[in-house]
This record gives sequence, structure tokens and C-alpha cells, in this order.
Amino acid sequence: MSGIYLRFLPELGLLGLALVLFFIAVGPGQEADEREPADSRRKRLIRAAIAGDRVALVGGGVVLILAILAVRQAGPLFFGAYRVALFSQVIKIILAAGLFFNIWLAQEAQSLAPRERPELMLFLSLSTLGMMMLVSADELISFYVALEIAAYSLYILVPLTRGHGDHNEAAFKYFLYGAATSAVALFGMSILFGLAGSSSIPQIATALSANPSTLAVTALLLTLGGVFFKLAVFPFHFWAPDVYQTTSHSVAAFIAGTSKVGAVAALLRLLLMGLSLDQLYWLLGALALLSMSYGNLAALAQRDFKRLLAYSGVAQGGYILLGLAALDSAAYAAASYYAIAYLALMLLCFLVVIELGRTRHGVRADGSTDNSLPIDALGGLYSRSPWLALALMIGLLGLAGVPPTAGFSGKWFLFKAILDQGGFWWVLIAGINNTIAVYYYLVVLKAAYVTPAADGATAIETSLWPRALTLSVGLGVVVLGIAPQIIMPTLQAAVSAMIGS
Amino acid sequence: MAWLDSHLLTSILLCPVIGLALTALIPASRTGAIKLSAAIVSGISCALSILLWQRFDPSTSRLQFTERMEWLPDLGITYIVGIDGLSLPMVLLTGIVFFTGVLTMWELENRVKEYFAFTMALVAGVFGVFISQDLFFLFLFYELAVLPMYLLIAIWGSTRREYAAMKLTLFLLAGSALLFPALIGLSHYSGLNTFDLTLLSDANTDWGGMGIIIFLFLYLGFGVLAGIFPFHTWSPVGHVAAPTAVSMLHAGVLMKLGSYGVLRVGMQVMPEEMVRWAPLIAALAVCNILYGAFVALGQTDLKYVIGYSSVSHMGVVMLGLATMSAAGISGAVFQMFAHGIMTALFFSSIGHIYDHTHTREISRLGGLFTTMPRASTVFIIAGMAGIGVPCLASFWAELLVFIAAVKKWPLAGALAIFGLVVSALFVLRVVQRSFFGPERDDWKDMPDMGNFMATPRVILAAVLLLFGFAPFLMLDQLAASVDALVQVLEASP
Repeated sequence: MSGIYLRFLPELGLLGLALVLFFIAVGPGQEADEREPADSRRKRLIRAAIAGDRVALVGGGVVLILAILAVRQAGPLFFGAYRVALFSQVIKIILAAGLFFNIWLAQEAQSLAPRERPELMLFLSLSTLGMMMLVSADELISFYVALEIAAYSLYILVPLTRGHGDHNEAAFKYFLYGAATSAVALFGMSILFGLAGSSSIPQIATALSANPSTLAVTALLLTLGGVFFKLAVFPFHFWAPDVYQTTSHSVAAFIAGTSKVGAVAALLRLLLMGLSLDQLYWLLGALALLSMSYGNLAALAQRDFKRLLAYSGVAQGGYILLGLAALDSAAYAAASYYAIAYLALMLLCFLVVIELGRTRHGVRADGSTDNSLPIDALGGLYSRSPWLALALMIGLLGLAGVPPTAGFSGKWFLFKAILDQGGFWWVLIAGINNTIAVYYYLVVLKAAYVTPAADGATAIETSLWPRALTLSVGLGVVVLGIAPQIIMPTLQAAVSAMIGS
Repeated sequence: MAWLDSHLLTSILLCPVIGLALTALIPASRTGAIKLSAAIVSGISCALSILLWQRFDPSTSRLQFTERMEWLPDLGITYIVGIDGLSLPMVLLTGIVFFTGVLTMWELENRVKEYFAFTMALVAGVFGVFISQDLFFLFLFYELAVLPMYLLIAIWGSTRREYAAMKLTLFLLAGSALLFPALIGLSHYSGLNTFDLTLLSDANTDWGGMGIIIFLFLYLGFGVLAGIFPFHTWSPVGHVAAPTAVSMLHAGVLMKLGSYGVLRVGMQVMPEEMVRWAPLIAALAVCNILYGAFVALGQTDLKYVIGYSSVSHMGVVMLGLATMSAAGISGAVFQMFAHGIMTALFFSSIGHIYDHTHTREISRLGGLFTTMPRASTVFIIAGMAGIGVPCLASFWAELLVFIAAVKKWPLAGALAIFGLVVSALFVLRVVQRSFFGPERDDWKDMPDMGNFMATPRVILAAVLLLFGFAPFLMLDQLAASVDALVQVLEASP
């Protein structure tokens, strides 16, 4: 009995955290009282918000520890619908770490009203819970349920920002695209069920390898669409720039980083069904090249840093997909490694966005918060805050694939995986894409390091926490880049076990 | 000593890394301490590379001072450092230019901390390329050396610095786009699943149809950094925009990464493809020599003159490699070294002149020799080296290359020698107009180099003279490795 709880430990911890946050969010302190003076009500809400922030931070740390404790657990749960294995546990650690850092970044978030902050923490936790379940789901129905838990929390979070404005358009776009792709995914799953006579992922994999057909490829691609949407791969990316730009910085950071790791892990799980389908090599490869070319070219034209990150994310999803097209354990390990690196790089970039956001109280004429961040606003960052400039430099260089960051090693592994399957020319196109990408990353870097600060721009006080984050995540990115053997053997073992089973 | 012998290369590599850490720890306001730590670190790495030179065994072509560490065996990645006669001069060159470059920038006042931090990162990359014997690490260090260049030029540069920095970075990274598939392809198509250069070279792989493409990618990818015609346009622009010491590192060391890459990866791993492509490489090299020399003739900016002369001199290096003979390759490696020292000297002299006169227009300068005798002497020594005057290192290097070239392709050799004549013309023209002639009133009160600032220039000039009078010092170190490479090339069909 205790074995079951141990296997389910990180999820249980997260669920507990979500419950506590739920009570803070709807707790007695939140209800409006006509007789209370506005000032004291505001103070009360801020107290509750800070309590929520701190509880979430501690809880996030605890969940991270629980996830690490549960890393050696293995075995099925819930009548085989759920499988705990090394791969799922490693990804859960990454997700927990991502959540923890996201909560850290979102402490005392300025772009949210105080009464919404406990809700932010609640839905961040719930969305992560969905992703953790996604990684372990061994059966299509539970997979779909987990996907929706992860997605619906985000549908709520995207419009959640101080005031009202055009972010509602982005939120609607996000929701409608999400609902449509999830319907398509459901349709694909129904065909897969029809082909295999089972909803269990390993059984479908066996059935498809015994009887590969074009219909199976089509069904699998439809199913993958649900995940492509989360990864924002072309042509499933249309929501991304608007959502990144208009939602609050803390939510954008989560969608850009942690949520992408969940998507990659889910992609790996689903592709287990297609390892024997040769057409996928061409289809995924072509999609990857389209995605990276489109993302990079579109990013060239961006003047807003958050939009630029969104388009660069479309391209980065392309790199991951290109490596994955190799469909072997090397590709799986490379994609996991790259997803981890990408999470760390996004944390660094959004650390800058959030800290800079604190100094820019952009309010539009209609009273809504302006959550955009023009690249020009980064001007002279090196003199305003050397720490943030450093974080931005490591983040951007990592995304550009410059050593000694993990972005470089990750690209090397992905490119090697696909080249070992004969994708020599694909690697060339990916390399050219990487060169294009360097241009727009350098434009941002130039703003931060070369352009002098605008008149009236003051120094940014960076407290101990952003410095600690810069130092720990930045060092992590570099150490992981130079010495990938810290983590690669674990990832290789995890994916071999998963593919072998 | 035994410990140092077995860890000498890693120690040299760690010098700039430690320097980077020190620079990061010292507060930005304490510029004196930052400069001092940079000088100490660069001095140590220079001393270690001289020690390496002295302890090198010239009788063997095998790798020396090797260190191995398993890195990621499943992916074929091993940390291997080691040097042979071909990389030894490059390590020494980097050590010397690093040290003199730090001293040259002693008077820098703008954003000192960041400047030295980026320089350290760049030099770590350069050292890494010259000592790595694993393609993953070689490429990692190669890319590491390129990016700090962007910031160094864009922040501290002069003429059109942002344009120049961006152009340089994009050209070099476009080269990397070719190197990604080529380098990974070497491991894949050899069937060995390793990036170990020695294993790859010894395997005698039959590359089939991919060989042509991979070699071409390697040649173009690395060649961009060596400034091969017609992909050289980033180079003069970058030289001109860069601050003094960055020009020194850029022209002196960074461009050698390109030719070294062609030599180390292209020629050593794929000798039969080298034989196939040699005529093309030679033809482009002759274009470099002639084009660089003629364009330099028409420049009015001192730095552009030297920038284009670098294009011309790198052509000599590539021509030497393309001859595939012992004389040609020795000459090419010698030329890489000599040209590195020589351009460093050129740019450090121009740097001093520009700092005080705030112009590099040849027509506005004149009679500088009377006001700045030291800076002028330095420039003239470098100029004499540039046109291959005997008793200076480049004389021997160019002589060897030209002999080999005339033997193999008489026409190419003749054209290359003609290029040398043209370069004599432009150097003498610059020397005559800027340093001699009537003295200008504008520059009457300009200070000459102080004793301290003259030190790095004296070191560089002394190195040029030393190897000019005693070329055997260099050629003896090279001989065994060059002979081994030539044997491999001759055995290739």
C-alpha cells in the first residue's frame, strides 16, 4: 500500500499544495465587506497575497524534494493506466524544479492584482500537476485527462492580469486553438483505439508495429496535434506571440518554460506508439524545418522582446522536433536534454522580463496593464543592472546555441541524432537557421550591452533573490553545457528503459 | 615538473578561465586590480606556452602532452588535448599576443571589467581550439572564440562598429552552419561513432560520395574565418572597427583558427579530398593574395591598409597548405605565426597613433617619425616584415611557400610573388606618406610611446627578429609533424 503512495508522491504533494492555495484563494479574507474601509481591505488582500506567495514557494520546494525522493520508484498504478518509471520521475523533477523557479519569479508579481495572486499560484500548481500526470499516463484516456488539466489551468491564467484589455483577445485565441486541437487529438485517439482495439499506449505501439498503415500515421499525427499546440510548433503556434505579449509576465514565463518541458515529455510518450512508422521521419523532419524557418524569419521582424521570445520558441520547438524525427533513444535523450536546457534559458530570459517589468508600470488609457516589453526598453541594461544584463546574456547566447552553454551541447546532440539517421542536409538547414537566429538574439544583446541607457532611466535595484537565481541557473546552464555527462547518462538510461519496455 | 608536464595544456587553457573568474569577482570600480590580474594571468599563460615550446620533443610527429578524459562515451565525445608540431606555434602565438594585447590596453578606461572578461573568454576559446583533439571540443572552443568578438567590437570599437561587429559574427556563424553537418558527418560516415581526431585520421575511411561535400563544407566553414576569397569581406571591416588589442587578437590569432581548422580537420582527416580540391584552394588563395594587395593599395585609412594586407597574407597561408609539400606546409604554419605577430605589431602601432591623433587617414598624417619615433619604428618594422624583408620571420615563411608554389604551379607561384611586389608598394607608400615627408603642425606636440607602453611592441618586434635570424628554431619544431602529414598526403590517390 505504501508503495503506491510513494510512487504517487510528487503528484500527491502538488495536490496538497493546490488544496492549501485553493483555501487561501477563496478563504474568508477574500470576500468583500461593504462596511470595511477600502484601505484596510487592500491591506488585507495584500497580506493574503503575500501569504499565498510564500506558501507556494515553500510548497514548491517541498514538491521538488518529494520528486527527487521518488526518483527511484517504478511500476504501474491504477490498473496500468499510469506508469511510474525512471523517465517519468526525472521529468517530474524537472517540472517540479520549473514550477519552483516559476513561483520564485512570481513572488510579489506586479502585473497581477493582489487578490489574483493566490489564484496564480493555485493554477500554476494545478497545471504542473496535469503535466506530471501526462508524463506517466500510459493510456490514452488518462493522457487526455491530464492534457486537459494542464491546459485548462492555463486557459484561466492567461486572461488573469491587472485590469482588462486586449489580453482577452489573446486568451480567447489561446482557448479556441486549444479546444480545437484537443478535439482533433481526441479524434486521432479514437482512430488509434479503433486500429489497436485498446487505449493502452504500449498495446497500441505493438499493434501499430505489427500492422503499420498510412491511417495509423494520420491518426498519430492528429493525436500529436494536441501536443504540438502546447509546444507551439508551426502551424500550431498562432496563439503564442499574442499570449506571450499580453499576459502577465509570470504566466508567460510558465507557458514559455515549464509548460514546454511538459509538452516535450508528452510528445516523447506519444511517439512511443510510432517508433515503427517510417513515414514519421519525413513528416516530423519536414514539420521541424518549417517550424524553425518560419519561427526564425518571423522573429527577425519583432520589436517586442516577449513576442520575439514567442517566435524564437516556435523555432526552438523545430530543433527539438528535428532531433526527434530520428525516433531512437539517442534522439529521445537529446530532446530531453534540450528541453531541460531550454527551461533554464527561459527562466533567465523571463527573470529579466519580470524584474524589468517591476520598473515599468505601463498602464494603458483604458486602465489595463501594458504587459509588452519593447526591445528598446532593454537599452543600457548593462549600466542599470549588471546582474540582469548577465542573466540576459547567458539566456540569449544559450538560445543562440553558443558555447559553453547547454544550448550548444543540446543542439549538437539533436543534430547528431538526426544525422546518424542520414539527415545530413537537414542538419545543414538547421545550421543555417541557427545563423539567422543569432541575428535577432544579437539585436537584443546589443540593446542590453551596447546601446546606452535612455535619458531618465534609473538603475534597477536587484535584490538578493534575482542575483541568486541568475547565479544558480546561469552556472547550471554553463556547467551542464560543458559537462553534459552530469545528466546525459541518466537520461539515456531512462529513455532506453522506456523505449525497451 | 612531472605533474606540470602531464597537465601543461589544461593549465594553459585554464589560465584565461581563471582570469575570467578573477575579473568577475573584482568590483568594476577597481580597474587597476582588474588590469593587474589580467596582466598576471596572461603573463602566466604566455610563460607556460614558452615552457611548452621548450619542452616539446621535435623528433616525433605524435601528439605530445596529451591528456584524456572520458566525457560522453555513448556519443563519442572524449576530452582530449594534445599538440604536435603544427599546433605548437599557434599556442605560442596566442600566448604572446594575449600578453602583449593586455599590456596594450593598459590605458583603457571605459567598462574595463567587461572588456577583460570578454577578452578572457575569447582567448580561452582560441587556446582550446589549438589544443583540442576532439571535434566536439574543437568546435565548442571555436564558437566560444567568435561571440565575445561581437561585444568587443560593438562596445569598444570605432568606425561603424555595430555594423562591423554584426557582419563579422554573421559571416563566421554562417561558416559554422556548414561546420555542424560536416563535423558530425565525419563521425557518422566514418562509422566509428567518435569525435577523436586521431582515430578519425588513422581510420583511412572511404568517404564515398559524401567526402567531396564534407571536405568542401570544412574548407568553406573554417575558411570564412581564414578570410578566403570571396568570403573575406567581414575581415577588413572588422579589423578597422575593433579596438587596438581586439584587432591584434582578431587578425593575429582569430583568423588563424580558420586556416588551422582546414589544416587540422580537413587535411589531416580527409587527405584524399585535399588532393582533389587543392587546385581550387590554390586558385582562391592566389585571388586572396592579389585582390588583398591591390585593394590595400587604394585604401586611405591605415587600418584598412593593414586589414586588406591581412587578406593577402592569409592567402599565402592557404597557398602554402594547398601545395601539400613539406616546404609549403612548413611555410604556411610559419606564416601563420609570423603574420600573427606582425599584424599584432601593426595594429598596436596604429592604435597608439590613433589614440593621439584621432585620425587614421594617410593623407592627414605625415612626418610622424620626428614626433613619434618609437611608434613609427614599430610600424616600419612590421611593414618590413609584411613585405618579406630578410632577417624578419615572414621572409622565411613566404620564401618557403613561394618556392613550393612555383614548383607545383608555376603560374600561381609567379602571381603570388607579383602580389608580394604590390604589397611592397603599398607598405612603402604608407610609410613614406605617414611617417616621413614634411612635418605637420597638427601632430607636433603628440606624445610618443612611454617606456611601459613600448614594452609589448618591443616584445613583438623581438619575436619577429628572433625567428628572422634563426628560422630553424621554428622549422625544427615543425619538421616531424609536417613530414608525417606530407607522407599521408602523398599516399593518397
